[in-house]
Formats: sequence, structure tokens, C-alpha cells
Amino acid sequence: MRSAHALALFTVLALAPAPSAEGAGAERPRVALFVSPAHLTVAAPGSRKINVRNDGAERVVVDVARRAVARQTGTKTWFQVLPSRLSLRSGRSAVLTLRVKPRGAEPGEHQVLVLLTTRAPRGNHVTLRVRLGVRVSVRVPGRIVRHLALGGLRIHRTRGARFMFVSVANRGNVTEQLRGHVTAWLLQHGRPLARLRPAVRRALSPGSRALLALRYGGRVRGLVIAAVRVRLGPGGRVVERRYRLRL
Amino acid sequence: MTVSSNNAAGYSLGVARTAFAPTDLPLALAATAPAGGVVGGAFTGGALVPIPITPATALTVGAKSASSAAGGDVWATNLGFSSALPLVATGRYTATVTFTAVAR
Repeated sequence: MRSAHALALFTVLALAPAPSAEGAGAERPRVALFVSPAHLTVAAPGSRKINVRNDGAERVVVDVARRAVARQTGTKTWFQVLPSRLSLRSGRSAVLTLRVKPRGAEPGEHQVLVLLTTRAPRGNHVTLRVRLGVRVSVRVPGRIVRHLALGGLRIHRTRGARFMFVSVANRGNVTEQLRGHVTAWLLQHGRPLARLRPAVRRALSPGSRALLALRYGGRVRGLVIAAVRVRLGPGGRVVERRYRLRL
Repeated sequence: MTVSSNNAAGYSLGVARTAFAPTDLPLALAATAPAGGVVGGAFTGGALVPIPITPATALTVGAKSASSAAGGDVWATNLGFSSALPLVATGRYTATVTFTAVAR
């Protein structure tokens, strides 16, 4: 049988000397939280248990939250951890239940952190909180469809610069990262004229649209070609579109 | 801070804080790693490193790529101020520092 990974975090007493706690040994830290497993995998639909124990000298209240890692996808509708708050006396344990529903989740692999945070005990001027992160790998079944469509280009001319706006639509079923994945060039007579820095939102969820803004502050005027490229997903497939325009 | 973990892939340790109320003060942390641990780059040489205020990304105190020692890994930390205190009104100033350990 595979052993479960455990993670525990203790605060030292240097900043907030521990008062003598009921039934606690002199060496016992004031706040100490234990969680097991610290890393788990769940396939949707599915559920898992997470054990939490208060190894500290004082009663603690633990707030439970979740946060998606890497992919900019919401977890609110399909990833649930209950209860969202625990109150644990010294030495007591509790069980959290993690449930994953496929409905509302994008297919593929998701990394979610379950964060267990102790409420700050009363301290002097600086109080300490302890937080443990349980790493959860979630597999949601379904075929991943990556389809990003680059729409038309609109140009806005000002005295000192040219602004180009390209519409982008996500017609796939997974969120696409845009920031850092888009490159754009101006070409004239087949040669690169300028590399443009695109201003774009971080990610585009399935079914949504966004505008990609490109600014050219150079002096060249006349007919050019704007080439816009978007790199999709970890596989690196590229969507490209070229636009003929007059600066 | 003491971290105990039997996860062979190890763990990372980070720190963040709230702003001092009623006026913020330049709170900072110095840290040294336990055996086998690697302290975050900013902490090299025992430097006092300003602690970011949430929601800013937490400052990496350090990481370890193996399970902890039998009694836990002790990350020796000291809180202090990264610069001279600004001229503020006398009174009580409070903030909360959060240490976060995440399995790798």
C-alpha cells in the first residue's frame, strides 16, 4: 500500500511566547498543524479525505480555501472542500472531504492547492499564522479541444502612433493562456519592420472573446503586413494570421 | 519555523504579511536553511528581506527536495525591519505574518 504523504508546520515561540496551555507540555509549540496526505490525485467525479490535526498547545481555528495553480481556471463550481472552517482543540483531529464534479470543469489535468490557514492567535505586535498547502492533481475526463480564432484587424491612427486591434475568440473547451503566448510583427517587402508588444488579457475562457492591442510608434508608413501568432497550450501548436494594412 | 514532511519530493516554505495598522512599517525577515534545505536567493548572507504584503506573491523562504529530518527541519528565522522606521505616531502597530508550507 502506498504511504500517504504528510506535512506539518510548527511556529516557534520566539515572537509570541506560549502561555501555559491546558494539558500541554512545556516543549509543545503554541501553534502546530498537521495534514495528511499533503499531495493527492483525484479523478472526476470523485472524492478524497484529508486529515487535519492540531499538534499545538492552543485551540486553533483553521480556514480552508482552494486555489487553482498554473491554469487560470475557476474551481468554484466543480471543486469543493468541506467544511470550510475547523475549530480544533489541542491534540484533536478532523477530516476534510474533497469532492470533484466533472460538470463545469474543463477537461484535462488541473492542479489545485487546498490551503489550511490557522487564525492568528493573539500576539503582541506581530502575530503569526501557519498555512499548509495540500497539492491536489485533478483529472477531468473529456476530449480537449483547442480552437482559437483570430478575427479582423481594426486600425486607429493618432499623430504619433498606430494602434491595431485584433479580436480573439476561444472556440475550444479549455482556457487559453494569452499573456506571454502572443507575438506580433510588422513586415514590409517581406522583411521584418518591427516587433510589436501586444497588450492582452492573461487568459481567455472557453466561449469568450477579447481584443488584442498592438502599438506601432515608428515612422514607416504605407502598405505593411501585420503577422499575429498565438502559441496554444503545452504542445506549442501555433495559430497565425496575417493582415494587409496601410499605416 | 519547523517543517516536518515525509514527502520525498520535499516542500517549499513561503512568507507573506498584512500591512501594519494604522500605518505600515518595513517588516522584514532573515532566514537560514536546515541541512539539505536551500534558502531563497534573497536571504543569502543572512540579509533582512522585506516581507511582501498580501495579495502580493509570497516571498520564498526556501525549499527542500527531500523529506524532513526526524524531528523536523528547523528554518531559523528572525523578524526585523529592513530600513529605519518612518516617523509615525506613537501607539500600537499590529500585523500578521503568514508562513506557508506546500508539498512539492
